[in-house]
Amino acid sequence: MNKNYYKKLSQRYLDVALSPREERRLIAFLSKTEDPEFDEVKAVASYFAQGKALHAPAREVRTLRRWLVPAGIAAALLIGVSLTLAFQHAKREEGAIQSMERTLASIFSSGTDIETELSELLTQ
Amino acid sequence: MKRYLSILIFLFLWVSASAQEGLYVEDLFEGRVIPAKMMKRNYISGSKLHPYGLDTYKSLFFQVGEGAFHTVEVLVLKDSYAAEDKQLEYDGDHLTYAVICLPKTQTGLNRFLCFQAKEEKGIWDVTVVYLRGTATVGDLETMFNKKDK
Repeated sequence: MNKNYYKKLSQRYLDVALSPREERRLIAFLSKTEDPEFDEVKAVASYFAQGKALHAPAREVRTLRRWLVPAGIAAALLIGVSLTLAFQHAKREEGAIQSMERTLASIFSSGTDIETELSELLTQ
Repeated sequence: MKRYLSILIFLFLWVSASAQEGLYVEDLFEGRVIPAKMMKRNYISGSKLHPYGLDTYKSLFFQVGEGAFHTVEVLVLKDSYAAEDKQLEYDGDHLTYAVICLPKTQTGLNRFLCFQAKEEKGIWDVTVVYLRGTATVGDLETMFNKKDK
């Protein structure tokens, strides 16, 4: 009875008409049975199992690709923010240096020129 | 007992020596004379100043009344007492301009204290600048004196 049941399952497996639960049940049976009547379906199942194994890394690549876009956007945003901050910092520093130059120019230009004052005094 | 005494003497001398390193205007820069929020401050140090022969630049700008101005004036004048070279200018009783060459640092760097003040309707516009570096007062004049000679 069991054999007939699994034979039917095998036939439906080859017709790709099994539910996932039935497929799991059939695979479990095939892994244990030594009956040559199931050799054909075993070969097919083995072929698909290998195919699945081969496709697994491709799924990982797809997963990686899925993350690649948000990661790229995040990296671009991070770089953008860093560049903006660096630019603002440089601008602030430049402003501070310009302010320093103005202040020092004001100080060193506005003191009385002693040389001029003395020469004016002595020529009077 | 003698050992404790010598430690105390050493500490006293060390504190005295450290105190001489400081300036009276330090209180001003620290915001202890005029509240920091009332001053425009510009502190620069490091490689940006190297083209000017400086390693530290600190400036303060503020507007004060007569009383506070007098306090600031006194601090600047006190620092000028220890000066190697100085140029002080007065308008009446008030100090309006000063370029003070302070004693060098222990590492041989030149230090300057500059002061500029202008009064209008009882309000004083005051600028105080502290400079430190290898530049001499002559270098600074050459770099920043924009007056036509």
